[in-house]
Amino acid sequence: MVDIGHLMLILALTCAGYSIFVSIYGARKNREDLTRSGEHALFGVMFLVTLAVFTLWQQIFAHDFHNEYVVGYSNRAMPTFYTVASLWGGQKGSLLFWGWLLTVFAALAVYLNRHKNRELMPYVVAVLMGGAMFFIALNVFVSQPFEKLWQLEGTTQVIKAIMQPANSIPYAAPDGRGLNPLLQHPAMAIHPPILYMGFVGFSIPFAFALAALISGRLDSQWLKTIRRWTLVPWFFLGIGMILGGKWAYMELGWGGYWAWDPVENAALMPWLAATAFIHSTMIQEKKNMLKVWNMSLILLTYVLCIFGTFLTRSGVVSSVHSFARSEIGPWFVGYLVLLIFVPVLLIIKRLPQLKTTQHFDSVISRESAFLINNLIFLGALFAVFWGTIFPIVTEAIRGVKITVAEPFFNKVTIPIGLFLLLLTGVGPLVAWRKTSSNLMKKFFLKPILVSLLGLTIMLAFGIRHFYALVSLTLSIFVTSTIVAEFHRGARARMRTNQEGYFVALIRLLQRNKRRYGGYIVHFGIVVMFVGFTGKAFDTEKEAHLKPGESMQIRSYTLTYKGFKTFEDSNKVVWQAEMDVYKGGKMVKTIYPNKHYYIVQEQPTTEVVLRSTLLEDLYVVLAQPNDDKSAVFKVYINPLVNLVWLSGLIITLGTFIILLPDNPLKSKVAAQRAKIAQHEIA
Amino acid sequence: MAEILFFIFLASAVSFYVVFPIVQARTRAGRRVNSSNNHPSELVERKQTIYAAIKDIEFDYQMGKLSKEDYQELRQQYKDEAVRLLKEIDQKEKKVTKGAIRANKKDAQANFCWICGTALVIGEKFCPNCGEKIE
Amino acid sequence: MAKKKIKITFAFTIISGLLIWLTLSGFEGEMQYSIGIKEVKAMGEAAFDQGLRVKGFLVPGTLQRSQNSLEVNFVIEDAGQEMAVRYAKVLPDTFKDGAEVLVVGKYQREGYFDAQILMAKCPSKYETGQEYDIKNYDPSKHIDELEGTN
Repeated sequence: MVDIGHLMLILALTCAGYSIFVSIYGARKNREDLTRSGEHALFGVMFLVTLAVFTLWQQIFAHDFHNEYVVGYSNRAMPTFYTVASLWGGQKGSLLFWGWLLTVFAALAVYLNRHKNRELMPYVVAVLMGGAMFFIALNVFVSQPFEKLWQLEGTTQVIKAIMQPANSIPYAAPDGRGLNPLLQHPAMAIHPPILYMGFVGFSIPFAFALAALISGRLDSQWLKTIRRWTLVPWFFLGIGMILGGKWAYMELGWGGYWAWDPVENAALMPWLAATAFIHSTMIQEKKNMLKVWNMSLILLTYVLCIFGTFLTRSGVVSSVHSFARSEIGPWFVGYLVLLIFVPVLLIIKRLPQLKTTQHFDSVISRESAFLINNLIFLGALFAVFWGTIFPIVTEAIRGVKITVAEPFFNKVTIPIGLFLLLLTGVGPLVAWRKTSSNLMKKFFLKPILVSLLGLTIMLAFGIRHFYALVSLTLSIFVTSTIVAEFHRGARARMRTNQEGYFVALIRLLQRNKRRYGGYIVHFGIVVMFVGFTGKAFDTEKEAHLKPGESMQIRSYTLTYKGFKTFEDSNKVVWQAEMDVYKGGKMVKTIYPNKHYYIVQEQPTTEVVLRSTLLEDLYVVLAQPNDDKSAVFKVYINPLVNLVWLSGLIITLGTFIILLPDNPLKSKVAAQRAKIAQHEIA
Repeated sequence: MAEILFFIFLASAVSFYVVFPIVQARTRAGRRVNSSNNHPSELVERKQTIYAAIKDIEFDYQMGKLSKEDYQELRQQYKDEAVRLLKEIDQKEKKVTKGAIRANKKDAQANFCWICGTALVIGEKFCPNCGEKIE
Repeated sequence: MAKKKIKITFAFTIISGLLIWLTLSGFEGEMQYSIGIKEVKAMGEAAFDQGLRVKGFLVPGTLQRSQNSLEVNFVIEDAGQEMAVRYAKVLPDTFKDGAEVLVVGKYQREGYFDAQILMAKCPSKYETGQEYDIKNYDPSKHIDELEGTN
């Protein structure tokens, strides 16, 4: 019989369709009972998809090898932690997981807005359920995670199908094939869910934007509502990319963390659009302008999320990580066309209402700095987009696939990135609306002097790499402007509120969470750029060593002691032993491994590091030989740890921005306000 | 078999939950969406934008980012606009609100809260909007 | 007002122009042509100075490792055509007999392909939609294979 999980999905699909219908109809007829019913249906969909997900998890944990997906992505030998990850380890499961996250996010957003935005919500519900319907429909019709294995009677042939075919008996495989061992890494187990939370999370601002367009409620209410709903997915996307980088660095063994692979670009593109949106939305809040622009940016962000998924899932571009070629491509194309045309038509329809009444106060102002920032972000997006789809375009036009790889992206994005870094420093110094050139000089003088000093020191130390010099100088510049901002803000508070320096500093952060939290995020970005710059100073060396022999790389000496072999239920392990000396002193013994996963017939390289904040010594056991000699590949990656560290700083900054205003504080404030009003009366 | 029963139970429970608001509305004369509330009118929104702008100007001046002349010019400009808007809002609502009292009292010394930009009446010790202490 | 607007528009046009120029000029010299083995051989002289991306399947038994360096030589095959490849970096973990291989690099006059980048996909191992033959699945057999290759 058909799996109950599949039935739940069918029910969820029906429920989502019902929700769309009653929400729109109810909103048009102004009937709250219907729109409430639509919201209930949304919660119902969430509940049903949750049940379906847990059904699949249950089958994975119970090793139910009658289910084809369970056979494909789990086995008995896998550790529990990774068994959880089997849910999103393959195409079908990950699409189900995606749909599940979407319904959970949707339910949360609708629940939190149950008393607010009543005119918007029916349309928000309809748009969200539209998205959910798409993903659930994929799981019901094309990419079915509850497909079962059946053995045709009288033969040894096993086929997969949702319904039991005629003349067949249920078939259960003795064991599964397991999750790809390359994916069995802590960072990889949590990287996809976090990345998905980013992709899926953008459905909420998308739904609010579209609802505002449909309902004609185009005041900035929707923009205020989605402020946090934009920041959270933006954050998840960024952290997801950093974790993905960490995984690639630790697991793939080529010494790097970013390769401009289409899958990586797929996550980077919506992140760029969202970053632009987060900045330009402030202009709308402050000046009530750029309405069409902001609307387009958030719609673009979501479209890019879906486009990225399409790119990586349909196999139209070749990528290291790409999933199997599958029949979901056309579905995604259809959905994308819908996602582009409907909003564009709506924007055109609402154009008169989106006209701006405000204007710029001055050419040199924070507003125009933000606008330039937007332009540059979109420029970066444009470059990454063209680089990614170039093979598709050239194949369509010239009949030959022409690919551009890492060198292209580096050539184009490094100058753009450095210019953005410069803006990070300049933007906050420019006041909103107007900045006089005298003050500009005053503000820029000190940071410029500090960065010039830094530049001189770097030159004195013999650094000659052009981009590295620019990047590090700019980093010093931006850092000093951020420090100066904090200092000036604290000083201003000290003057007006008679507070001590540290109290003033903390109050400053509390009272202006967005501004100063934003500066902390900026600082995180600076740290990340410094980490990227380390790439300019890396080095690598390959050596064939017999036991007892040593190799030299920069100030390190590595002495190879030999390797041993052993195996457990899951894999065979070659483990080499090496002593690491730095400047003649032994600092660490390292054990680079090579594993061979038996069931999957796949080796994995287990890198070892000798890691300090300044640099990583990165050792790969590339090839163990029969005579106990071995080939090693050794990298020195300076500053790479700053990239991971920047993730923590960005997390801190985002956390501060997201902090709710202290409820106790606002109560006190409300009371004070009451007292003040009494005094007037 | 048990699975099928469970599923039927599940489907009925979900359906009941989904149609519940409609049934409820039938029994207690349907409440309708009141579409006029909780959305700031265009004017109020513009007022908020201007308050935010004044807050920024104050803050930038406190931090020494605006020169005194620029600060005074910009602040006057936004204050005038705020007053104009307040009057406009009052006219629209056809009643005299506190905002208008404040706007009428407004003279050369009228101040704005540096945290939230609300118009202040001389003698107030706390901002009536955000509660910030006024020196 | 109008003057301000002109100034802003002008600045933005310049910046957009620069960005577009940067992107388009970036393509120059970085293009890699995706072609089949047969076409590489048919290209003649033109093949030697162009970045190429060639797909094929690793011919079982042709992989030659070197004892004292990372350099490997192997043959890939596609549609009946074969091509020798040399690669000198750490091999990706998914690289094994029968794997689908994508090599990026330049074709050399000596008649082999000098690969700078190598991507490999496991032969249908993790892909769905393949015919099933887990009936005769025997986990122990891989250990034999493993010992055989080592």
